[in-house]
Amino acid sequence: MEWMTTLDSPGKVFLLQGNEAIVRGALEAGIHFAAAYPGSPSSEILTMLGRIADKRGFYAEWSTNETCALEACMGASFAHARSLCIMKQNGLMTVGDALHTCGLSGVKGGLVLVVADDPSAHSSTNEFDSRNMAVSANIPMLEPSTIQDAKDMIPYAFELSEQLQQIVMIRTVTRINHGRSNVVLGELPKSLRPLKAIGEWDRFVGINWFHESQWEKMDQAGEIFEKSPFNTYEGPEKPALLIITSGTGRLYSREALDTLEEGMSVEVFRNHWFHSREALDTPEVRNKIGILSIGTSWPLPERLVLGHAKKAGKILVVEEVDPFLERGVAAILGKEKDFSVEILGKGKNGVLPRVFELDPDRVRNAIAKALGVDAKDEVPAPAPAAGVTARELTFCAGCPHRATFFIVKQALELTETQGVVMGDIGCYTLGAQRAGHYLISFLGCMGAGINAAEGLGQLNRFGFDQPVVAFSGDSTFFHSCLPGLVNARYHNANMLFVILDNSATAMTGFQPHPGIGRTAMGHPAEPVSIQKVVEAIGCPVTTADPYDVEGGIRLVYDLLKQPGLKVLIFQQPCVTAHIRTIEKTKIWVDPELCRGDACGCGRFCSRIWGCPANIWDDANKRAAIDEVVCAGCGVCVSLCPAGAIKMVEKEAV
Amino acid sequence: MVAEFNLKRDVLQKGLCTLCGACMDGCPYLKNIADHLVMPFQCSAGEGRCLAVCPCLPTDWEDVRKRFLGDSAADPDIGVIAGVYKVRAKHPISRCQNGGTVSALLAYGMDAGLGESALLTRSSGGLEPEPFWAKSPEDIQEAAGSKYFAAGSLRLLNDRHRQWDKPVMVVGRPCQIRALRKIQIHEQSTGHTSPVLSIGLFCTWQLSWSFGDFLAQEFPGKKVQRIAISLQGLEVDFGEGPQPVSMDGVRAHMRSACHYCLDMTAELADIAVGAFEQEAGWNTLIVRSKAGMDWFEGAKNRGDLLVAAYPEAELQRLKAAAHNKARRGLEKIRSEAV
Amino acid sequence: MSEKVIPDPLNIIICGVGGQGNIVASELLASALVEKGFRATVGETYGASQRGGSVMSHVRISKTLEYGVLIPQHKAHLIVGFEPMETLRIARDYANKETTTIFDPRPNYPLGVLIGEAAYPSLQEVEDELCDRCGFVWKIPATDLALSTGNFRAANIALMGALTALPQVPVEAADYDRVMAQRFPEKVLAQNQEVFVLGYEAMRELLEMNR
Repeated sequence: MEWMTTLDSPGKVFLLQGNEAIVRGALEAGIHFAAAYPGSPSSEILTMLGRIADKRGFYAEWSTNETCALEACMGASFAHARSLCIMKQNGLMTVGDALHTCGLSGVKGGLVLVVADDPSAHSSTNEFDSRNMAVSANIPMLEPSTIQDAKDMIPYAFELSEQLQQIVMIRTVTRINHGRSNVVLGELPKSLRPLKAIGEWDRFVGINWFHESQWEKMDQAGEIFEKSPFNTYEGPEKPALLIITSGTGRLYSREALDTLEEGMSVEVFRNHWFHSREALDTPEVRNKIGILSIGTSWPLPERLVLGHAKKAGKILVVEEVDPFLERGVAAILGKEKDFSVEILGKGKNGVLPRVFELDPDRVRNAIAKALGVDAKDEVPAPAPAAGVTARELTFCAGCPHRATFFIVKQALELTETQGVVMGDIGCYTLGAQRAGHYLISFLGCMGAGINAAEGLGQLNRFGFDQPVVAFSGDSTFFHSCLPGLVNARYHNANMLFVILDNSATAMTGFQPHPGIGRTAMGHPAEPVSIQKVVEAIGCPVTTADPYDVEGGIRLVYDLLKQPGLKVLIFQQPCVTAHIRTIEKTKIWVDPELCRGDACGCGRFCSRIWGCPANIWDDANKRAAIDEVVCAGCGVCVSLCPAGAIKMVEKEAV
Repeated sequence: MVAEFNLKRDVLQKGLCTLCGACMDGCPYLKNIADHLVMPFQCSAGEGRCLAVCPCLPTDWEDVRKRFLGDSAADPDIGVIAGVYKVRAKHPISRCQNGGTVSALLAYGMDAGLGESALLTRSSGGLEPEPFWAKSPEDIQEAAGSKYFAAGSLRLLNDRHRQWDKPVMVVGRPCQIRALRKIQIHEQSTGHTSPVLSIGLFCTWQLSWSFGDFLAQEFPGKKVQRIAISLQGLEVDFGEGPQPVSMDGVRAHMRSACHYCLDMTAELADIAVGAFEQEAGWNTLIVRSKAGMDWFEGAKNRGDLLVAAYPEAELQRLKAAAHNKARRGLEKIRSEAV
Repeated sequence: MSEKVIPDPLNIIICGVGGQGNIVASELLASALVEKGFRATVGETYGASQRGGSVMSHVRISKTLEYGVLIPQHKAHLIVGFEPMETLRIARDYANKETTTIFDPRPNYPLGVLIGEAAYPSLQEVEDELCDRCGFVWKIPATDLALSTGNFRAANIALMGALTALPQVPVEAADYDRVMAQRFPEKVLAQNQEVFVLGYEAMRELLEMNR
C-alpha cells in the first residue's frame, strides 16, 4: 500500500504494487527531481511522489507533456540532480527527438526513464513496444521481471546512469506496474546528495561529436551486464529446451514448468495441480528445461547468452509484445560461425502469438509446443447457457462528453451533409463507440485531431465541402494542440475545433494540468486560461455549457455554417472527479407521465441518451433513475419529451 | 411492431419532405433547424404518429377527400369546385400579398367565432417564417404576406397542452392541408374531435432557406423587405422597389420535395386561395366544402369581401397551370420510381 | 501460521464492474496475507474501469514461491463476484469443479442492456450455470448489507467479510481488521468494520445451514 513506500523499515516485507515499488526505489535512490505526464499504467508513480515530495525534500511535477518532463529532467541532471522521468509507451514515442539527443549528450546526475508499456492495450489504443526505442536511441535498458525487481532496479539504474554518464531506460508492463507482490524494503537515505554548480565549461550538448563515445558507453554497459544480478539462470547445465525470457515471462515460464512434463499428457497433472512445486520436482522436467531470465535487456549480455545457448538443444524466447529479445538473441547467435540452434518465439511460424500480452496459458502452450507435448487442457467446459453480454465502455453518469457528442451528432445531422469528426486521446475517445454515437472517424495520437482537421480544412480547392470537426480535451490541448491551433489559425483552415474542457485529466485519474490551478505537490498555481490562449492566437472563440443541449445544437449548427477556423469551448467540470464531494440533486421519474415504449418517446432516455443512470424498469415498462449511479446533472430532465423526469430543487441555503 | 414505412428512409432521405410540420415536436427523434428536418436517432415505436400524419407516404386521397369534401365530383386539375371567384378584401391591409382575402377571411372567422385562433406564420421580409397562433386581429395583420420559404407550421398542432375541442383556423400550403386532413383523421381515431377550418394557399414550389444566404451573397448588405412572384418571375424588394432575381438562381434553391408535388391548388382545403394573375390586387378563391361556403358567404355578406365572377379564360389558364404542375410532378416521380 | 490446509498456490479471483472497489478489496486481502507471512501476488485490470468496464483481480497465495500475476485458465479455487454477470463471465474462463464461488446477486446493467439491445440473463440462469461449472456457489447480498449501514460503496468489504469466513482462506477477521485500520481513516473504518462483520456473519450462516 502507498503508505508503506515511505517506511523506514529496511529488511521488512510488505505487499507493494509495482508502481509503489518504483516509488520506493526512487526514494531509496535519493532522487531530487521527478517529472511525468499521466499515462496508464504509470500514472500512480508521480501521483505518489507528488504527495511525499515536500516531506522528503525533493521536487515532483506533472509536466505539460512528456517532452517537457524529459527535458526538465535533463536540465536537473545537468546540475547533478538525480532525476526520474516517467511515462507510458506513447509518451516515449512523443519524446523521440529529446530521447535520442539525450543519448548523444549523455547526462550528469543520474537520469532514469521509466516507460510503462501496456501489452493488450488495457488502457491504451495500442501496445507499442518501447524497447525498440532503446536500440534506436542507443541507450541501456532494464526490464524488471518481478515487483521486487521494479524497486531494486531503480537505485541500480541510477548508479549505472552515473557510472556511464548516460540516460538509462527501464521498461515495465501493466502486469508489473499494476501487479502487487511481496517486496523487501531497502534503506532510505538520511539526506539527499548536494547538487553541483554548473561550471563555465560544463557542457550538456547532443551533437554528433559524441556518437563514438556513446558507443563506448554501450560497450561498457555490455560488460557490466555480463555480471548483473538481474540476469539469472535456473535449470540444468545442458537443457534440452532453453527458455530465454525477460519481464513477466520468467514467472509465467516457471509456473508452466510446474505443470508440464515431457511425454506425459496434462491429464495426469490435473490431480497434482494443487501440490507444491517441490512435489512436482521431477527429474524429467528439471533436466530438460532451463530458464535464462534477462533483466538487462539492452545491450544484451552477449557472452552470457551465447554461453547458455551453446549448451541448449533448442531455444524458446518468451517476452511481452515484440520479438525484441528474440531478434537480439538471433543476432548474437547468427554471428557465430559453425553454430546454429533452433530459436522459437513469435511470428508466423512461432509458438507464441505476436500480439497481446503473455499469460500463463499462452506460455505453457508455447513450452509444450517447443517440447512437442500435447498441452491441451481437458477441463470439461459445459456449453455456455446464459447470454453474457460484453460490457461496453460508456461515459460516466453526468459526464459532459455525453452531452457534447449528443449535441454534435445532431448538429451535424441537421446540416444534411456528411460531417467528419476527428477525435483525440482522453475519455472522449470513447466517442468512437456507441456512447458517442460512433461519431469519431479519425483517431491518431495526442494532438492529431486538430492537425488532421487542418489538412481536410484546406481541401476546398478540390471541391471538398464536408464539415470538419476536431475534438480535444483540456489536458490534451496543453499537451499537444498548441502548435496545431497556431497552424490552423495561420492557414485559416475550414474547421470547427471543439475543446472539451472538463477541468480534468480524467481518463488517467484526475491529475492536475496547467488549467487546473494545483500542482503535483499540492501547491496552488496560477491556472492558464484556455480561452485566453485561444484568443491570443487570434481565433474566434465561443464558450458554452454542454449541459444546455438544445442551445448547443443550435450553436454548433450555426458555427458549422461559417467559413474558416472556429473554436468552441464546452465548459463543464468532470462529475466523477468531484462525485464524492458534491451534494447530488435527486432526480426521479414520474411513472404517470412517462411514455415508456410508446410513440412520442420510445425509451429516449435509456436507449438514446444512454446515461447509465437512466435505466428501463421492464416490470413496469417505465423509465427509472438508478440513484446509486446518478450524478444529478439534470440533462435528462431537459430531454424527456413528456417532462416525466423531475429534479428535486435543492433547498436554498 | 415493425412499421412498413420508415420516415427517415422513405421520406427524409429521399428528399420528399415538404416541411409541413405535422410530425415535428411530437417526439424527440425529429429535429429541425431552418428547413432541415432530420432523424439523428432511430425510434423504436413502430407504427407511430409521424407515419400516420405524413402527407408524403402512400395515402388513399380519394377517401380523404370524400370524408372532408363530400361526394361531389372533383375537377381533374383543380379539385372539387363548390364555387370559384375573383375576390379581394374590402379594405386590404398594406402588407398583404395580393388581395388581402386570406386576412379578411381570418378576421371574419375570428369575429364570428368560427375559430378561436388561427395557425399562421410571420416573418420579416418573407425570410425564415415563424409559425404562431394568432389570437387577435393584430396578430392576423402581423401574419399577412406570402412566405416562399417552407416552415413547418403544423408543428404547433403537436403542442401537448393544446385542446382539440376549441375550433381553430389553419392556413397552409397544399401539402400542409393534406397533412392536416391526416392529422384530423388520426385524432378522430383516438377520440378527439377537431373542428378545423382550413384555407389552402396555391403553391408551385417553396424555396429552401439557403435562398436567404444566396440573396445575402448576391446583394450584400441589403435587407429583404418583401419577396413576390409575378408573371415576370421572382422579385425581391430591398426597400428600393422590386428587383428581379434570375430564375436560375431561384431554381437552384427550390426544395426538392416540390418537384414531386401534384397539388397546386390545395385540393383538400375548405377554401383555396391564390393570386389572380391577370390583375394585381385580386385573389382567386375556390370554395370546396360546405363549411368553407358558409365561411366565405358570411364574410361576403358582412361586406368584408368584394366578389366578382371568375372569367372563363382565367379558369382555363388556372386549370392548365395546375395540370402542367401535376404533369411535371408525375414525370419526375415516374423517372425516379424503381 | 495458519493450520488450514490450502492448495499452493491458492488462486482467488475478485471480479466485478469498474468502480465497485475491486482493487481495494484485493489489496486488503493480499496485505493481510503478507502480514501473516505468505507470499501474495495480485494482478489487476485497470484503466477504463471507471467507465463501466469489467474488472478483475487475480490473487495468488503461496507459502514459498512467487507466482506470476495472472491465474491460468480454469485454475481459480475461489471466485468472489461483485456482480452476477461478471461472476459468470469469469467462471467460464477460470472455474473448475472444485471452485467455490461467492457473489452479490445485485445486477449492474451494461450499456447494451440499458438500451434494450441486449438482454441481461436471469439470475436463475446465472446461478444454474455457476453451479454447473463450480463446486460450491453462495449468494451474498453484499450491496443490501452495505446499504443497511447507509453506505452502498462498502459492498466490496461485505464480500471480503464473507470470503474471510470460508475455511479455505488463511486469514481471520482480526487480520483483516488490522489492515483496514492501516488503510482507512477513522470514520470510514468504523463503517467498513460493521459491513465486514455483516458479510462474515452472512457467510457463516450459509455454511451452517448447509453443513
